[in-house]
Amino acid sequence: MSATMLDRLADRAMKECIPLSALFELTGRCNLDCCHCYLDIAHPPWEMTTEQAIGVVDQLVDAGTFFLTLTGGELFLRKDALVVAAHARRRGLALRLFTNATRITEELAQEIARIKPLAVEVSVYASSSAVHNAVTKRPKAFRRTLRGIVLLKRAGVNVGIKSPLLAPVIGEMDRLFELADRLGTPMVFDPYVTPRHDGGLQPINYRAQVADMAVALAHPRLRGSAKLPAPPRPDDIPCAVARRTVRISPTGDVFPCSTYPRSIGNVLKQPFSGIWAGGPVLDRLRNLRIKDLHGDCAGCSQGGYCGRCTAVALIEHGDELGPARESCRLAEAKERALELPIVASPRRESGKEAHG
Amino acid sequence: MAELMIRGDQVPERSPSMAWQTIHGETVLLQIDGKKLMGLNEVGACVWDLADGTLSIGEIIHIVAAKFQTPSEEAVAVDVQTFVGELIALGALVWREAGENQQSGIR
Repeated sequence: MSATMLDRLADRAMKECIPLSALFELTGRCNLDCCHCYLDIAHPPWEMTTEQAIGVVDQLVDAGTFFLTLTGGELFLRKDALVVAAHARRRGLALRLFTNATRITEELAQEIARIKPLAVEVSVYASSSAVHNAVTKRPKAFRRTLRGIVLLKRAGVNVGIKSPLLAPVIGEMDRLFELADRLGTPMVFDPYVTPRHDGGLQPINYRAQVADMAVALAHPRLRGSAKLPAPPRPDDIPCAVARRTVRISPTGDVFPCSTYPRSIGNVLKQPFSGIWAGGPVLDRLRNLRIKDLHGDCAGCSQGGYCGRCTAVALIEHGDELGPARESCRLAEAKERALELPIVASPRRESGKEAHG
Repeated sequence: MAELMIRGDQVPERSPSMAWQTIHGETVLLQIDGKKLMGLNEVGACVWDLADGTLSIGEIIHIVAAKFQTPSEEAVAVDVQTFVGELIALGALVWREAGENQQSGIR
């Protein structure tokens, strides 16, 4: 994708508060019970109808959304998921589908391929059943997920594999890269494990230690620039919350980013345009600047690479202007990763000499 | 010269491999497969909007000429045909066959 044009689009969305990327949770139900999940799958909310979901998509298009992610829970527990997805594509949206792939059949894979999503992203936590099934708490999850990925690939769908850098996953990284190579998919790790949307802190028990995160981030296939970015300027905007991103829940509640826990309105009760136009929460978040942050965030030298999350600061520490300690840990892990020697990846780098 | 090969009765439609959005007057196209992003000017965006599989090239030229109040429809015809030819070559637009039903996965 043209980085320059995409960057320009993203910058414009940030400045003009266009919800360029939307996360639409069609269901809170899931057939897995992942230990780190941000949803309470034991108590899923009710779900809007197909017609209402299509109406939400239309309103997002009108508001300027270009990248739409349909997710759950498990997206394909809703039989109408592809009806909504197809409508989104007809309206021109670049579509991502998040699924655990356990319910993918040959027929469903072909239907997905016809819709032409930008990508179908599947979480895989290990290269073998023991760890993956332990994380998902389902004995057949790994086999079913792998089968789903293979069916999607055979149908010609762009599939990506992803995993959070949970404590149990870190030891699996090399094998996960190998698995992704065999499947012909990209593999992405997300170092940020967030609390539950309802404020529950269960997922944070599965966060990795900083030293282990550093080793993971130093992996040859994750290692980025040798220099960490400089701190932001005082008048910079801290993050995309309330500006470029939006989340819609299965009940139509609208949130100013994928993690922020407080609803700013309900799209089934009032038009999205009216909700997004502003209000006490949105206005406060949109006016936030780096200079407004306090506590350890004020003047912090790690501000350019901590990935500070306003929503996590609020959920975990009750102060959206203060530090999100997970961001501080991530910054420390990034610093430590730079000090670690570069070690050859066992597969991609085989035959090459290790550095350091 | 793409425009020489395009007849006025041909009907272009947006390829199912494309995503697009118009944000505050700026239209962007994204090729799903190649992940290529491109921007359109105002006239290009108008043609893209009209290329919904229901209008012929001749009809699109007529509408564009009227909308932009151009003195010569012939000049517009060359521009539209060239532009459509380029988008066909990129795979962003496809020709709808005569009597074809909308059969792709998203139509």
